[in-house]
Amino acid sequence: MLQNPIAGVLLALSGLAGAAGAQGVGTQIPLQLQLEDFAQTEARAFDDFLGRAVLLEFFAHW
Amino acid sequence: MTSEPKQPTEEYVKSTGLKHAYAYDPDGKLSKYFGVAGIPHAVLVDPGGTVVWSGHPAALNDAIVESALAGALTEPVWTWPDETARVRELLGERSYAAALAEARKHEGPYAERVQGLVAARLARVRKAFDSGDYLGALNAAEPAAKSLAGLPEGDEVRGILTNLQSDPGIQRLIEGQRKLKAVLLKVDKVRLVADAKQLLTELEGLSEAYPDSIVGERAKAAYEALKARIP
Repeated sequence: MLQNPIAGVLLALSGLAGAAGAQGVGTQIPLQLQLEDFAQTEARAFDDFLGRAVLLEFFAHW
Repeated sequence: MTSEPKQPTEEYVKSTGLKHAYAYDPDGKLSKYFGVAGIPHAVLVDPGGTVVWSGHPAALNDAIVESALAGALTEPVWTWPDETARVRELLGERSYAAALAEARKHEGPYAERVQGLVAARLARVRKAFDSGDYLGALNAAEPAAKSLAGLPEGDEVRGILTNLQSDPGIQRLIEGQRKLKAVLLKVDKVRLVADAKQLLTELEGLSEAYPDSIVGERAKAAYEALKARIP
């Protein structure tokens, strides 16, 4: 008997990844984080955001 | 931030009207550090430099953001006058006692602002501890104990840290939180139903092994959420 092709397939994609258990959570961000060419801000280094809550979003142009 | 080349990125920013600050992570070191497997991905860092959340931006909610904003500076340090450069440098080194001593040499609200950051570091440790999030408290207390050394707040953090590291009941719950974290990492990536069912079994086991605790509650919530994803 053929197996139901759906049964072994994929979970619904509703589970957007995002959790307090994710990699890196709970760790201190590395000191003197080396990011380059800040734009649309007066900050020139990541340390300029000290004392602020920062949302780092990884993005791509495509 | 992006690891893509500058020219197409700048064209993209211009064409989309993107307004927020951005920078380049040329070798992708940071995305590797956070295990970024897909775009978009976001990481939320609190004012003390601790990563408090990581994941798909659409999964970020107001409660998490508000929690991260607690105690944050209302004005960024680049707006502070040049004569406070040493304060900023010491904050960058996360040496709060020295930063506070330096800030007190200057007229203006700088000492008060540094003191606010100190209070926020302590409050974060206390809040995690009081809520039973002992792994969160441990993660916050270890760097805070170093950063706040020489301050009364540092003594309090060290007291909490000692408790976290010596109480057998707390140690067991921290172990449970670590196990749950490992399962949740797999839950984030699971796609096959058979694998999901195995994870359900693991979550159920944790829920039963750690009843009436943050481990049991979170395992149960993750179980229900994962179960709902299975067709």
